[in-house]
Amino acid sequence: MNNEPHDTDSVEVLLQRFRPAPPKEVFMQRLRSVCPVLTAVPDPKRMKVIVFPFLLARLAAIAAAVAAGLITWHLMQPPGEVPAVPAGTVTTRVDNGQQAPRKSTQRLMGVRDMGIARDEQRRPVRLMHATWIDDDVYLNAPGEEPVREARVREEIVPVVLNDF
Amino acid sequence: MSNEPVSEWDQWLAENAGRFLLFSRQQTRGDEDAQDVLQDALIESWQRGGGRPESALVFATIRRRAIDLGRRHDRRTRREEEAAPDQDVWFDSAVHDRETAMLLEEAVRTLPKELCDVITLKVWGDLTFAEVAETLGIPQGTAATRYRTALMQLRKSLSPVLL
Repeated sequence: MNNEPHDTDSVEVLLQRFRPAPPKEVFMQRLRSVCPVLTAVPDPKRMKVIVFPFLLARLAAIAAAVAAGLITWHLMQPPGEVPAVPAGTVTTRVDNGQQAPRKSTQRLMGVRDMGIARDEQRRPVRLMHATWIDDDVYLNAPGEEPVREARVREEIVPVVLNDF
Repeated sequence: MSNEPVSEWDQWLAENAGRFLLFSRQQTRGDEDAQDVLQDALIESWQRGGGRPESALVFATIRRRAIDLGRRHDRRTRREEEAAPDQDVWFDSAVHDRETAMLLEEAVRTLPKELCDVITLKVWGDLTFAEVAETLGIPQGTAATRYRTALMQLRKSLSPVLL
Protein backbone atom coordinates (compact mmCIF):
# COMPACT_ATOMS: atom_id res chain seq x y z
CA MET A 1 0.00 0.00 0.00
CA ASN A 2 1.24 3.48 -0.82
CA ASN A 3 1.41 5.58 2.33
CA GLU A 4 2.50 8.85 0.78
CA PRO A 5 1.02 11.80 2.62
CA HIS A 6 -0.65 13.24 -0.47
CA ASP A 7 -2.71 10.05 -0.78
CA THR A 8 -4.78 10.90 2.26
CA ASP A 9 -4.49 14.64 1.69
CA SER A 10 -6.38 14.32 -1.58
CA VAL A 11 -9.13 12.35 0.17
CA GLU A 12 -9.38 14.99 2.88
CA VAL A 13 -9.72 17.69 0.26
CA LEU A 14 -12.51 15.75 -1.42
CA LEU A 15 -14.33 15.12 1.87
CA GLN A 16 -14.13 18.76 2.85
CA ARG A 17 -15.61 19.78 -0.49
CA PHE A 18 -18.92 18.31 0.56
CA ARG A 19 -21.10 19.58 3.38
CA PRO A 20 -23.87 17.61 5.11
CA ALA A 21 -27.18 18.02 3.36
CA PRO A 22 -29.43 20.49 5.16
CA PRO A 23 -32.49 18.97 6.83
CA LYS A 24 -35.75 19.24 4.95
CA GLU A 25 -37.73 22.37 5.66
CA VAL A 26 -40.55 20.35 7.26
CA PHE A 27 -38.12 18.96 9.83
CA MET A 28 -36.55 22.35 10.40
CA GLN A 29 -39.98 23.80 11.11
CA ARG A 30 -40.59 20.98 13.56
CA LEU A 31 -37.30 21.76 15.33
CA ARG A 32 -38.00 25.48 15.42
CA SER A 33 -41.44 24.82 16.84
CA VAL A 34 -40.10 22.92 19.86
CA CYS A 35 -38.32 26.00 21.13
CA PRO A 36 -41.31 27.22 23.21
CA VAL A 37 -41.01 23.99 25.17
CA LEU A 38 -37.62 25.22 26.37
CA THR A 39 -39.00 26.93 29.43
CA ALA A 40 -35.84 25.92 31.24
CA VAL A 41 -33.74 28.35 29.25
CA PRO A 42 -32.24 30.45 32.04
CA ASP A 43 -32.45 34.18 32.12
CA PRO A 44 -29.17 36.06 31.67
CA LYS A 45 -28.72 36.60 35.43
CA ARG A 46 -28.93 32.88 36.10
CA MET A 47 -26.72 32.14 33.11
CA LYS A 48 -23.88 33.96 34.82
CA VAL A 49 -24.03 31.43 37.61
CA ILE A 50 -23.78 28.59 35.15
CA VAL A 51 -21.28 30.11 32.78
CA PHE A 52 -18.68 31.29 35.23
CA PRO A 53 -17.83 27.96 36.87
CA PHE A 54 -17.48 26.61 33.34
CA LEU A 55 -15.10 29.41 32.40
CA LEU A 56 -13.17 28.99 35.61
CA ALA A 57 -12.90 25.27 34.96
CA ARG A 58 -11.53 25.98 31.50
CA LEU A 59 -9.13 28.52 32.93
CA ALA A 60 -7.94 25.95 35.42
CA ALA A 61 -7.53 23.43 32.59
CA ILE A 62 -5.47 25.90 30.56
CA ALA A 63 -3.34 26.76 33.55
CA ALA A 64 -2.79 23.07 34.28
CA ALA A 65 -1.87 22.37 30.65
CA VAL A 66 0.52 25.30 30.54
CA ALA A 67 2.08 24.31 33.83
CA ALA A 68 2.41 20.68 32.75
CA GLY A 69 3.94 21.78 29.47
CA LEU A 70 6.42 24.06 31.14
CA ILE A 71 7.38 21.41 33.69
CA THR A 72 7.80 18.76 30.99
CA TRP A 73 9.83 21.11 28.86
CA HIS A 74 11.90 22.20 31.83
CA LEU A 75 12.65 18.60 32.79
CA MET A 76 13.77 17.85 29.25
CA GLN A 77 16.36 20.64 29.30
CA PRO A 78 19.99 19.62 29.85
CA PRO A 79 21.30 20.99 33.15
CA GLY A 80 22.55 24.56 32.96
CA GLU A 81 21.09 25.28 29.54
CA VAL A 82 19.29 28.58 28.97
CA PRO A 83 15.63 28.29 27.89
CA ALA A 84 14.99 29.28 24.27
CA VAL A 85 11.26 28.78 23.76
CA PRO A 86 9.42 31.79 22.28
CA ALA A 87 7.06 33.56 24.64
CA GLY A 88 3.48 32.30 24.46
CA THR A 89 4.46 28.89 23.12
CA VAL A 90 3.97 25.68 25.05
CA THR A 91 5.03 22.29 23.76
CA THR A 92 4.09 19.05 25.46
CA ARG A 93 4.76 15.47 24.60
CA VAL A 94 2.18 13.01 25.84
CA ASP A 95 3.26 9.40 25.71
CA ASN A 96 1.05 7.17 27.75
CA GLY A 97 1.59 3.47 27.26
CA GLN A 98 -0.42 1.86 24.51
CA GLN A 99 -1.84 5.05 23.03
CA ALA A 100 -0.18 6.75 20.10
CA PRO A 101 2.21 9.36 21.48
CA ARG A 102 1.17 12.92 20.86
CA LYS A 103 3.21 16.05 20.52
CA SER A 104 1.28 19.18 21.21
CA THR A 105 2.18 22.82 20.72
CA GLN A 106 0.03 25.76 21.75
CA ARG A 107 0.87 29.23 20.52
CA LEU A 108 -0.78 32.27 22.05
CA MET A 109 -1.58 34.53 19.11
CA GLY A 110 -3.34 37.39 20.84
CA VAL A 111 -5.25 38.64 23.84
CA ARG A 112 -8.12 41.14 23.74
CA ASP A 113 -9.93 42.90 26.56
CA MET A 114 -13.67 42.19 26.41
CA GLY A 115 -14.72 44.36 29.32
CA ILE A 116 -15.78 43.86 32.89
CA ALA A 117 -18.53 41.56 34.24
CA ARG A 118 -19.41 40.02 37.59
CA ASP A 119 -18.89 36.41 38.64
CA GLU A 120 -21.23 34.28 40.74
CA GLN A 121 -19.96 35.93 43.93
CA ARG A 122 -20.69 39.35 42.44
CA ARG A 123 -16.99 40.16 42.24
CA PRO A 124 -15.85 42.25 39.28
CA VAL A 125 -13.91 40.25 36.71
CA ARG A 126 -12.20 41.39 33.55
CA LEU A 127 -12.96 39.10 30.62
CA MET A 128 -9.99 38.49 28.37
CA HIS A 129 -10.35 36.90 24.97
CA ALA A 130 -7.33 34.76 24.10
CA THR A 131 -6.61 33.25 20.69
CA TRP A 132 -4.41 30.15 20.53
CA ILE A 133 -3.16 27.97 17.72
CA ASP A 134 -3.05 24.34 18.81
CA ASP A 135 -0.79 22.10 16.77
CA ASP A 136 -1.10 18.41 17.65
CA VAL A 137 0.86 15.62 15.99
CA TYR A 138 -0.26 12.05 16.63
CA LEU A 139 2.60 9.65 16.05
CA ASN A 140 1.30 6.33 14.75
CA ALA A 141 3.05 3.01 14.46
CA PRO A 142 6.59 3.02 13.02
CA GLY A 143 6.52 3.49 9.26
CA GLU A 144 3.15 5.25 9.27
CA GLU A 145 2.71 8.92 8.58
CA PRO A 146 1.88 10.98 11.67
CA VAL A 147 -1.58 12.53 11.82
CA ARG A 148 -1.41 16.28 12.24
CA GLU A 149 -4.13 18.57 13.51
CA ALA A 150 -3.83 22.34 13.70
CA ARG A 151 -6.63 24.65 14.67
CA VAL A 152 -7.44 28.02 16.13
CA ARG A 153 -8.85 27.91 19.67
CA GLU A 154 -10.47 30.82 21.38
CA GLU A 155 -10.84 31.15 25.14
CA ILE A 156 -12.58 33.65 27.34
CA VAL A 157 -10.61 33.98 30.53
CA PRO A 158 -12.07 35.80 33.55
CA VAL A 159 -9.51 37.66 35.61
CA VAL A 160 -10.70 38.56 39.10
CA LEU A 161 -10.20 42.24 39.91
CA ASN A 162 -9.41 43.34 43.43
CA ASP A 163 -11.68 45.84 45.18
CA PHE A 164 -9.95 48.62 47.08
CA MET B 1 -41.06 35.31 27.32
CA SER B 2 -38.37 37.21 25.48
CA ASN B 3 -37.92 36.53 21.79
CA GLU B 4 -34.16 36.42 22.15
CA PRO B 5 -33.72 32.73 23.06
CA VAL B 6 -36.06 31.72 20.23
CA SER B 7 -34.09 33.57 17.60
CA GLU B 8 -30.81 32.24 18.94
CA TRP B 9 -32.25 28.72 18.85
CA ASP B 10 -33.35 29.27 15.25
CA GLN B 11 -29.97 30.63 14.32
CA TRP B 12 -28.16 27.76 16.00
CA LEU B 13 -30.38 25.27 14.19
CA ALA B 14 -29.76 26.95 10.84
CA GLU B 15 -26.01 26.82 11.39
CA ASN B 16 -25.68 23.31 12.78
CA ALA B 17 -28.71 21.09 12.14
CA GLY B 18 -27.21 19.62 8.95
CA ARG B 19 -24.07 18.22 10.54
CA PHE B 20 -25.92 16.99 13.62
CA LEU B 21 -28.49 15.26 11.41
CA LEU B 22 -25.75 13.55 9.39
CA PHE B 23 -24.30 12.05 12.56
CA SER B 24 -27.76 11.12 13.85
CA ARG B 25 -28.51 9.31 10.57
CA GLN B 26 -25.34 7.29 10.98
CA GLN B 27 -26.26 6.32 14.53
CA THR B 28 -29.81 5.15 13.76
CA ARG B 29 -31.60 2.81 11.41
CA GLY B 30 -33.66 5.29 9.43
CA ASP B 31 -34.54 8.92 8.89
CA GLU B 32 -37.49 8.94 11.27
CA ASP B 33 -35.40 7.59 14.12
CA ALA B 34 -32.61 10.00 13.22
CA GLN B 35 -34.97 12.96 13.40
CA ASP B 36 -36.51 11.86 16.69
CA VAL B 37 -33.11 11.27 18.27
CA LEU B 38 -31.82 14.56 16.95
CA GLN B 39 -34.77 16.57 18.23
CA ASP B 40 -34.49 15.11 21.73
CA ALA B 41 -30.71 15.49 21.76
CA LEU B 42 -30.84 19.12 20.65
CA ILE B 43 -33.35 20.05 23.32
CA GLU B 44 -31.45 18.18 26.03
CA SER B 45 -28.11 19.71 25.02
CA TRP B 46 -29.58 23.21 24.82
CA GLN B 47 -31.08 22.90 28.27
CA ARG B 48 -27.95 21.38 29.79
CA GLY B 49 -25.78 24.05 28.22
CA GLY B 50 -28.07 26.84 29.34
CA GLY B 51 -28.24 27.97 25.71
CA ARG B 52 -26.01 27.29 22.72
CA PRO B 53 -24.13 24.11 23.71
CA GLU B 54 -20.67 22.88 22.73
CA SER B 55 -20.78 20.73 19.59
CA ALA B 56 -19.07 17.83 21.35
CA LEU B 57 -21.86 17.74 23.94
CA VAL B 58 -24.50 17.56 21.20
CA PHE B 59 -22.73 14.76 19.34
CA ALA B 60 -22.27 12.80 22.57
CA THR B 61 -25.95 13.26 23.41
CA ILE B 62 -27.03 12.12 19.95
CA ARG B 63 -24.88 9.03 20.31
CA ARG B 64 -26.21 8.19 23.78
CA ARG B 65 -29.83 8.66 22.75
CA ALA B 66 -29.30 6.59 19.60
CA ILE B 67 -27.85 3.76 21.69
CA ASP B 68 -30.85 3.96 24.04
CA LEU B 69 -33.21 3.86 21.08
CA GLY B 70 -31.33 0.93 19.59
CA ARG B 71 -31.77 -1.01 22.82
CA ARG B 72 -35.50 -0.33 22.82
CA HIS B 73 -35.64 -1.42 19.18
CA ASP B 74 -33.88 -4.64 20.04
CA ARG B 75 -36.48 -5.47 22.65
CA ARG B 76 -39.42 -5.14 20.29
CA THR B 77 -40.02 -6.51 16.83
CA ARG B 78 -38.12 -4.71 14.10
CA ARG B 79 -41.15 -4.47 11.89
CA GLU B 80 -40.27 -1.34 9.99
CA GLU B 81 -36.55 -1.92 9.78
CA GLU B 82 -36.40 -2.88 6.14
CA ALA B 83 -39.67 -1.26 5.18
CA ALA B 84 -38.42 2.30 5.02
CA PRO B 85 -35.04 2.66 3.38
CA ASP B 86 -33.33 6.02 3.60
CA GLN B 87 -34.44 8.33 0.84
CA ASP B 88 -32.60 11.47 1.80
CA VAL B 89 -29.10 12.13 0.58
CA TRP B 90 -26.37 12.69 3.15
CA PHE B 91 -24.41 15.36 1.35
CA ASP B 92 -25.22 18.64 -0.31
CA SER B 93 -23.93 18.91 -3.85
CA ALA B 94 -24.13 20.93 -7.01
CA VAL B 95 -25.63 19.16 -10.01
CA HIS B 96 -22.24 18.42 -11.57
CA ASP B 97 -21.03 16.94 -8.29
CA ARG B 98 -24.03 14.75 -7.58
CA GLU B 99 -22.43 11.56 -8.77
CA THR B 100 -19.38 12.15 -6.58
CA ALA B 101 -21.64 12.95 -3.62
CA MET B 102 -23.46 9.64 -4.08
CA LEU B 103 -20.19 7.78 -4.36
CA LEU B 104 -18.96 9.51 -1.20
CA GLU B 105 -22.14 8.62 0.69
CA GLU B 106 -21.84 5.00 -0.34
CA ALA B 107 -18.17 4.95 0.66
CA VAL B 108 -18.90 6.44 4.09
CA ARG B 109 -21.88 4.10 4.62
CA THR B 110 -19.74 1.05 3.97
CA LEU B 111 -17.00 2.05 6.42
CA PRO B 112 -16.93 0.08 9.67
CA LYS B 113 -18.99 1.99 12.23
CA GLU B 114 -16.04 2.95 14.42
CA LEU B 115 -14.27 4.50 11.42
CA CYS B 116 -17.43 6.15 10.13
CA ASP B 117 -18.04 7.80 13.50
CA VAL B 118 -14.54 9.25 13.67
CA ILE B 119 -14.42 10.53 10.10
CA THR B 120 -17.87 12.12 10.42
CA LEU B 121 -17.13 13.86 13.71
CA LYS B 122 -13.73 15.07 12.52
CA VAL B 123 -14.55 16.22 9.00
CA TRP B 124 -18.18 17.27 9.12
CA GLY B 125 -18.61 17.66 12.86
CA ASP B 126 -15.54 19.91 12.94
CA LEU B 127 -14.34 18.42 16.22
CA THR B 128 -10.75 18.09 17.40
CA PHE B 129 -9.29 14.64 18.05
CA ALA B 130 -9.65 15.38 21.74
CA GLU B 131 -13.36 16.11 21.29
CA VAL B 132 -13.86 13.09 19.04
CA ALA B 133 -12.20 10.93 21.68
CA GLU B 134 -14.38 12.36 24.42
CA THR B 135 -17.56 11.96 22.38
CA LEU B 136 -16.86 8.32 21.53
CA GLY B 137 -15.19 7.37 24.82
CA ILE B 138 -11.90 6.33 23.21
CA PRO B 139 -8.27 7.46 23.62
CA GLN B 140 -7.11 10.37 21.46
CA GLY B 141 -4.46 8.23 19.83
CA THR B 142 -7.11 5.70 18.83
CA ALA B 143 -9.21 8.50 17.32
CA ALA B 144 -6.24 9.67 15.26
CA THR B 145 -5.39 6.14 14.12
CA ARG B 146 -9.00 5.42 13.15
CA TYR B 147 -9.12 8.70 11.25
CA ARG B 148 -6.08 7.75 9.22
CA THR B 149 -7.40 4.23 8.60
CA ALA B 150 -10.72 5.67 7.46
CA LEU B 151 -8.95 8.00 5.04
CA MET B 152 -7.00 5.09 3.58
CA GLN B 153 -10.18 3.05 3.10
CA LEU B 154 -12.04 5.98 1.60
CA ARG B 155 -9.17 6.57 -0.76
CA LYS B 156 -9.67 3.08 -2.16
CA SER B 157 -13.43 3.49 -2.50
CA LEU B 158 -13.17 6.94 -4.02
CA SER B 159 -10.25 6.27 -6.35
CA PRO B 160 -12.42 6.78 -9.49
CA VAL B 161 -13.04 10.42 -8.56
CA LEU B 162 -9.60 11.07 -7.12
CA LEU B 163 -7.77 10.49 -10.39
